[in-house]
Order: sequence, then structure tokens, then C-alpha cells
Amino acid sequence: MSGTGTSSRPTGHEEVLSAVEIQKWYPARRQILRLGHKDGGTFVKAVDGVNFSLRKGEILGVIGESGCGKSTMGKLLVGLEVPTGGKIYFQGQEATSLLKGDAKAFRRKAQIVFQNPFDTFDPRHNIASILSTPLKIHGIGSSDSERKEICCQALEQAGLRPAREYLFRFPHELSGGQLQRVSIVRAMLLKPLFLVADEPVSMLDVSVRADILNALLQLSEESSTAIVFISHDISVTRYISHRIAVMYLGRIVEIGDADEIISHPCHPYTRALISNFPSADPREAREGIQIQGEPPTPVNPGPGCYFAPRCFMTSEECLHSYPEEVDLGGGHLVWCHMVQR
Amino acid sequence: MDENAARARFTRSLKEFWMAYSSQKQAVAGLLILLLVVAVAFLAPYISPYDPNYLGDTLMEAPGRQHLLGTDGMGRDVFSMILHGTRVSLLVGVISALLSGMIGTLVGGISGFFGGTVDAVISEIIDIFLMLPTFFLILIIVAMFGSSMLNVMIVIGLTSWPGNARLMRAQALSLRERTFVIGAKVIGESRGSILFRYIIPNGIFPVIANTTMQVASAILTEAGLSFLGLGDPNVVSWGRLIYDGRAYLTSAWWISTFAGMAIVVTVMGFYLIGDGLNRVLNPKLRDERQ
Amino acid sequence: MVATQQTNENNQCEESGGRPLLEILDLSVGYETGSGLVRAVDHVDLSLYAGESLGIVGESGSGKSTLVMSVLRLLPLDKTVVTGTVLFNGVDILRCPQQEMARIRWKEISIVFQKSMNSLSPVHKVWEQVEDIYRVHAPGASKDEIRERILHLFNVVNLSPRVLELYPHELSGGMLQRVCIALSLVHLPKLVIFDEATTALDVITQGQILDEVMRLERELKLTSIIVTHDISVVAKTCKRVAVMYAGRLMEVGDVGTVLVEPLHPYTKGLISSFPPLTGTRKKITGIPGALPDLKAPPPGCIFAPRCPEALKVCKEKSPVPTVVSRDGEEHLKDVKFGPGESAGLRNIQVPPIGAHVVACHKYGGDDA
Ligand SMILES: Nc1ncnc2c1ncn2[C@@H]1O[C@H](COP(=O)(O)OP(=O)(O)OP(=O)(O)O)[C@@H](O)[C@H]1O
Ligand SMILES: Nc1ncnc2c1ncn2[C@@H]1O[C@H](COP(=O)(O)OP(=O)(O)O)[C@@H](O)[C@H]1O
Ligand code: SF4
Ligand code: SF4
Ligand SMILES: [Mg+2]
Ligand SMILES: [Mg+2]
Repeated sequence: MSGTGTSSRPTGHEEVLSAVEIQKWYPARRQILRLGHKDGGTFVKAVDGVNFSLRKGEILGVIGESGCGKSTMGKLLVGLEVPTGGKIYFQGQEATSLLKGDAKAFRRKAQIVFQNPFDTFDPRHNIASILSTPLKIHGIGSSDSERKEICCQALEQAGLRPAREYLFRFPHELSGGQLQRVSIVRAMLLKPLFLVADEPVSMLDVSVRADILNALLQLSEESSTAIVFISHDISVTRYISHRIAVMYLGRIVEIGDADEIISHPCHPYTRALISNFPSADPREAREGIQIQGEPPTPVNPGPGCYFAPRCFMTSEECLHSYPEEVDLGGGHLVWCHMVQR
Repeated sequence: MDENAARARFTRSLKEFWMAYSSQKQAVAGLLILLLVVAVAFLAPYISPYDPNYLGDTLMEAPGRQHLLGTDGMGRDVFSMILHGTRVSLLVGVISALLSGMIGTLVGGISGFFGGTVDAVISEIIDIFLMLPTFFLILIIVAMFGSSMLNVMIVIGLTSWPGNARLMRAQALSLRERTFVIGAKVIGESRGSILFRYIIPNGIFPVIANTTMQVASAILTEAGLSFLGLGDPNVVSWGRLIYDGRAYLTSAWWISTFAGMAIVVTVMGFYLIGDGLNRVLNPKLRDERQ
Repeated sequence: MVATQQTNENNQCEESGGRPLLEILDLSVGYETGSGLVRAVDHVDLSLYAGESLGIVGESGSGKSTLVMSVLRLLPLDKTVVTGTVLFNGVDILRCPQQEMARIRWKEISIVFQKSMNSLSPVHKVWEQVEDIYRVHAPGASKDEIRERILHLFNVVNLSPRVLELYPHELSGGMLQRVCIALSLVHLPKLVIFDEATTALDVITQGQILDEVMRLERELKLTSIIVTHDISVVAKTCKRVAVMYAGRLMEVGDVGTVLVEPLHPYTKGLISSFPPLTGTRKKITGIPGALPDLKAPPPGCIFAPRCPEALKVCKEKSPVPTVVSRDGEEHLKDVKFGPGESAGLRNIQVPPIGAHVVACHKYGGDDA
């Protein structure tokens, strides 16, 4: 898969989103003189060539260590950052030019739920105003009362009943779980093509996490909205996702069916990640695979496999070239020299 | 029921604000002074014993039964003049501070929120303005364009906004990283409406506090201008009184002194209120309280 | 002493004559706030034998940190109301003189926080800070002696010696946390408390640190308390677990019992909040509702407003912690365990090692 250079691309049936070689490189230092900006400087390669596509109603989990570029990828998908390379297509439409040409149309397609529900809403606006603002901006509903009706319905559907109880409350008067529900409701009011959920439960109390996860699941089933679910919690990601992508230093190193990835991880990094994830069942205790070193920062990694400095299976080849894609069948792809087809 | 609840909540937060404000003695004192000054400004025509422009027969009469604060070199009643001067000083102070607050908020908000080149340019301008000797600049402008009250107000407003802009810019810089502002972008708010609906309302509190204090300094500036003879010659202001009384300082000290005291008290009132507001509204200080 | 009940494999507790290393007896802690007393810990009884590893779990705000802070007497004196007794090795922690407490802290009980790394100064090299901290408790120590000891501990927690020459900002969160763990082990304390010590870390780093902690327990014969909201951390590392909710203990017992076949409805709810990593995907439910206001706790069982199994009595009477057998049948309920003689206390229950204690009306908790 490589960028075709044209602004549209043939789409598979039901494909809502596809990312082709997307990149986000931040200049590592503030370059005072913009000399050598093209290729000479050092870059933080937060996202460094990511490919995937998403079908209607599909939930893709993205896991990986802190700093591996998950959030940056999420921001690229919803247009909060502009990719420095590669293209994103919404149902065949190139996203960056759509954002430039018709920003509102773009916003209706791509929505996000943030990690911190306590900071997601303006503390001065009540829930009614928070929910009706996007409707107003996008011209949904003809009058204020109609919009209020739409908000009420959406709240009730999301289990915030009775809706009137919530409409005139302010964010600080709701719990984290309730706020996160409102956040999902607001995103869904625009009936987006897909939703990015960036660690939506990590700041919530453990006992209310299930609630939000189930709300997301229900939503993707009812409205067939595709979801990119970013998390560092592997069991939660498996619970909610159809497929899982494992990221390391800005690249996807393994992607495939969620259960397949968890039960038969092939990439050494995925294996280390999963083996170190503690299970809530004490009978499942297992020894984690030890890997050396700390996650490095993505400043000009390579040229070989990015994981090579920490890998327990490194060979000579790994140090020289980045591994090619290995297709294990059934959509299970791995990027590792030591994995055989 | 819901709207009522919302209103009740609003009243409650007002109440909380008042509780926090009124727990500070100085701030309450400032408010009392302000109330007094405003009342005087409104009631000046009714409580003045004389017309401030009426030229009486007794020149430079010392404070006494006839003239509470004495008369000036032309026989006018000093007390009545000070009462009427309240209007001018207050008007100049409030209008020019408001002007400065509005310009500062807008410029600082745009600079901090838009960032990039816009911010770099505006920051540079702010720095230049902060380095200029403001009073000197005002002098030049007034000398060039005349010294009507309106000119004086505009000039003070136009030269004192950089402080407010700096405050607002700092607020905008931190607000634009907040999730709710990023979220506003995602739901499709335009940059302008993010600035006016999210950034400014959430970041304006330090500017409000500072603007209140600026009323005080605007009053002083106007007085300074008048003292130098550059005030509006057609109105009686406190600064003008001091200016006029200067010549009689040895023979009739009361002319300048009482006007000076009026300035000190009023300025202090605004300063105390500003300081009190700052403690209640400034997010940093507020968080410490909680 | 019901020595016959003891089913322990380790002989460590023999040293202390069968008494627990740490006994928390009827401990309550309240924070005074402008709008009332927050009952952060409410009548907690808990004991820990030497060589055990205890996990304390519960959602945030359930009083876990407050509980362990009171064991170290680190709570602000002016803002807290503390009643009850904490016995460590027979010493009455809450009432012993200040100097004695200073000796016990760090030398006998040490603690690692989630944000321990923030307590390191950014402008001094790790080595300088380590040296200072070491000297606080061993003023006479020579440089070489300290270096040798520290390097040994760094080795134990898998840190390279080069770290000593770096500044804190040059280390990752995981490395900093390892430095803090190494520091907590300097004087080979009898008890080490980890309060959410791995919460902010990455999966791999957390896994490695937990493995190290378990190895340390074996090799250095540490007794540890691991405080966390994540039951999988406890499942992996601890022998015993205490489940806490809204300041009260809900269930205490062996990890293999409590986390596999929980009896208390709260424990069940908590476990059902964590989806399994492998096996079939079951729908997880969590626990609807939120923590009650600890300034005005509801009468009866504190969990009653959220409990799916609540009975009528639950809203009226608080359940009493009761020792139950493995199959959930209550027994031993009128056995009075050894009183804390050293503190002159009478009739305080100290359950035997390995006991399974549940505070719920469904399991004999109504027996007052
Ligand atoms: N605006 C920026 N400028 C420069 N570097 C950035 C910027 N945003 C992110 N980065 C860098 O890009 C990398 C990826 O960051 P990102 O926030 O996407 O990670 P993440 O996978 O979401 O991590 P976490 O799990 O901690 O949320 C990091 O090394 C980060 O420091
Ligand atoms: N310094 C404090 N002042 C007032 N209340 C506090 C303070 N510290 C904790 N609390 C309250 O005590 C309760 C228990 O808190 P904590 O022990 O930190 O719980 P946990 O560690 O289980 O999350 C909470 O309701 C919390 O808000
Ligand atoms: S390519 Fe080599 S270094 Fe990279 S993960 Fe595979 S074995 Fe390890
Ligand atoms: S005592 Fe009652 S309310 Fe409390 S946990 Fe047991 S059954 Fe539920
Ligand atoms: Mg992130
Ligand atoms: Mg805590």
C-alpha cells in the first residue's frame, strides 16, 4: 500500500476509514534557522508510517507503551493534528483536503472522546448548552426546543435518566462516569463515521469502567459507528475490540483479530507486553518475559527494527533493515524478521 | 423546575462569591468607599451647598462654617467643586480602564489562543508598549490632539492595555491546551467562537481584577495631566483643583489638599476592590483557598 | 491462642510467638473539613503475619492510602481524628514517643508512593540524594559503605550503577520508581508498603517491577503491603487480600479464595469490573452507583445503596466481620482470639493466619 497521490481512492465495501502511511514528525528542537528543514534535522517521529483500515461498526483497539504514538495517531484521525506525510481517507474522501475545504463536514465525520472527563466540558456551561452547541453549529434541529428534545432523547438512550435531571446541571455536579457518558452522547449527536476513544476509562473508578465500555459497545452495535479504542489496558482492549493493533515507536508492529493477538501473539514485543500484563485471576499467574531497557523516545529510530535494542530474539538482520510485513492469514499481520509466514 | 434549579444554582454561586469576597475586611472597605464615591457622583448637584462655578465674594476663605472646605482664589466653594469633580474623575477612570480592559482582553486572547506568528508579533508589540514611557506618550498625544475629556480617556485607555493583554495571553496560552477547548474544536466551533465563548469567559478574571485597579491609576493619570495643565479646561476635576491650588499652596493650603485627599481615598478604594477580586477570582489564588 | 488454626507454611511468625507483625485494631480515621468529618477509615481490624504479602484493594477514595498512612503515623495531626490501635511488633504505633516513631519509619517500616519520584530533587544527582537519605538513619556511614550498599540494592531492583550519576529528569518513570524502591530497602525494613507504586507505569515496567518485588519478598524475607485499585496486581503478587470500600473492610482472606470465589457482594462486583484477558468474553457489569458521601454515611451496611443482594436488615444494621470457612458457612464466630495484651486491650479479635473474614449480613454478619 502506498500513497496514490490522487485525492480519492477506491474503497472496499463498508470501509469507512483508511490510513495510508500516515506520519507525524515533530521537529525535535526548535529550529531557529529553518535550514536543512527538509531532511537534515532530527525529528520526534511520533507516528511513523501507519496503515490500517476500519469497516463500518468495527472496533479497533490500539495498545502500546506510553509515548508510542497512540494519542498522536488519534489526533491525526480527528484532524487535531495534520499529518506530515501519508493520507487518511473517509469513505474514499481525502481527509486533509476535506478539512481545508469544508471543516464542518469533516467534524461531523470524525469525533473523539477524551481521557479526562473532568476537563472535557467548559465548567461554565450546563449540560443542555454543552449538548445543543454541536447541534446548533451543524444546523441540526430547527428550533431550540427541538434541539433540547434531541438532547433529552440522547441522554435517556445513554442511560442518564431522567434527562431533565441532568440538562441543567454543570459539569462539576456530575461524576466522572456520568461525564464520560455525556461526552459519548455529545460525540454521537453528530452521527459520526467513526469515533476515537483515547483511554476513555483510565481516569474512571474501576467500578464504573464497565459501564462506559458497555455504552461504547452498545453504541457501535446500534449505530454501526466504527471506533478506534486507544488504551494501555490490554484486557479492557480485548473486551471491547474486534481487532487489535500493537504500536511500538510510531509504527504498528502487529495487527489482527483481538482474540488471536491475545492468545497467539507473534511479535516479540506483543509477547512481552501480554506476558507482563497481570491477570485478575490468581490461577493464571505467569512469568513475564523480561525485556531490557526502557522504552526509548522516537527520535530518529532505525535503521533496523525499532524494537531491536530491547528485543530478546534479535538477529543480525534486525539491525540493518526494518522488517517487511508478514501476512499470517486471517488478517493477522506482523512486522518481524523472525516470524515465518 | 429545571430553569428554577439553574437559577437557584446561579444565586448560590453568587452567594459563594460574596462569602469569599466579604471575608476580606479590606475588600469590603474598598467596596464601601466605592459606594460612597458613586453616591457622591450621582448626588453632587443635590448635596453641594454651592454651584461649583459660582464665583463668591470671599476669596481664599479658610475652611469654616460658611465654606466647609474653604474657597479658592476666585471665590468658588472647594467642597462643592470636589463633589462635582467626583463625576469627572470617576468617569475618566472607569471609561479608560474599561477601554484598556477590552483592548487587552482581545489582543491578549488572540495572541495566546492563535499562537504561532500572530503571537510572536503581538508579544513583540506588547513588549514595546510596556517599555514606552506611558505618561510621556500621553503628554505628547494630548499636546497634539487637544485635551478634551474624551481624548484624555481614549489616550489613557490606549496606553494602558498591555498589562491586561499580558494577563489574558497567559490565560489563553494555558486554556488552549485544556481538553474542553480542544473538544470545542472537534465539535466544529470556529476559532472566533472558541475565543469568545471559551477562552475569554474562562480567562478574564485576572483581567477584571486588574482593570479595577487600573481605574485607580487612570484617575491618578488624569489628575497628573490636569496638574500639568493638560486636563480638559472646561470641566472641574480633582487634578484641576490641585493644579489651580498650586499657586496658593502657602496662603490657601486647603484648595489642593482636600482634592488630593479625595484622590487618595478613591484610588485606595478601587485598589482594595481590585485586590479583593484578585484573591477571589484569580484561579491560582482561588485553588489555594480550596 | 488458637495455634491449631494456623495453617501457615512459613516459620517466621514463630519468632514473634505467633503474634502478627502488624495488628490494626478497631482503627478509625476522620479528616476534619469545613463541612464535616470525612470518615476515611471506619473501625478497621486487620492483621498481618511476618512473611505474608497483603494486598489492599478498593476503588479510589475507599481509604486505602489513609489506612497505610496511619500505620506510619504520617497523617496531619491537626486535621485528623484517629482512634484505635496499631501494633507493630508489639509497639503501639499511634502512641509511642516521636523519637521511637522516627526510628521505626524507614528502618522497620518503609513506604513507596505512586508519586515517590516527585520527591526527588531535580537539581541534584541521584547519588547525592541517595547519600543524604542514607545518612539520615545512619549518620556515621562512610561513602564507600553507602555506595556498596546502594549498588547492591540497585542490582536487586535491576538498575545499572550508571543511574547514580544521573539527574532525576534523565530517568524514566520506571527507573525512578526503582530508585525509590531501592531507597525503601536501604535498612532492610521488616515491612514495606507500596501505595499504588506501579499504577502510573507501563505494562512491561509494571510487570518487571512486580516480579522484582516478589523476588525481594522471597530473598530478603520482606513482609509487604501492596495498596492498589487494580486487583490483577494483587492477584499476581500477594498471598492475602483485604478488600476495602468506603473506609470499611468488606472481605479479607487468601488471594486464591477471595479473588476466585468471592463471598462479599462488593468483592464480586469489583472482580466483575475487570474483564478477563483470556478465555471467553463475558459481559462485565461493574458496580452501578458511586461511593457514598463519607461525611454522612448511610446507616447499616455502607455498601447497601449499591448492593445488588441487599436484604432488609442491611439498611438498618452494620454487618460485623465474621470468620467463615471456605464453603462460605460461618463458623468460629464466638471464638475470641488473642487480645492485644501488650497494649492492655481486651476482647479484640485477631483472626488466625489464613482466616477468611467477611463483613456481610449474608454471611453471619448480623451476629453482634
Ligand atoms: N506537540 C508535540 N511536539 C513534539 N513532540 C510530541 C508532541 N506531541 C507528542 N509528541 C511526542 O510524540 C510521541 C508520542 O506521543 P503520544 O502522546 O502520541 O503517545 P501515547 O502513545 O498516546 O502515550 P500515552 O500512553 O502516554 O498517552 C512522544 O514521544 C511525545 O513526546
Ligand atoms: N487530606 C485530606 N483531607 C480531607 N479528606 C481527605 C484527605 N485525604 C483523603 N481524604 C478523603 O478520605 C477518603 C479516603 O481517601 P484515601 O485514603 O486517599 O483513599 P484511597 O487511597 O483508597 O483512594 C476520601 O473520601 C478522600 O476524599
Ligand atoms: S525484527 Fe528482530 S529485533 Fe525486531 S522484533 Fe523481530 S526479532 Fe526482534
Ligand atoms: S450486608 Fe447486605 S448490603 Fe451489605 S454487602 Fe452484604 S448483602 Fe449487600
Ligand atoms: Mg496518550
Ligand atoms: Mg490512594
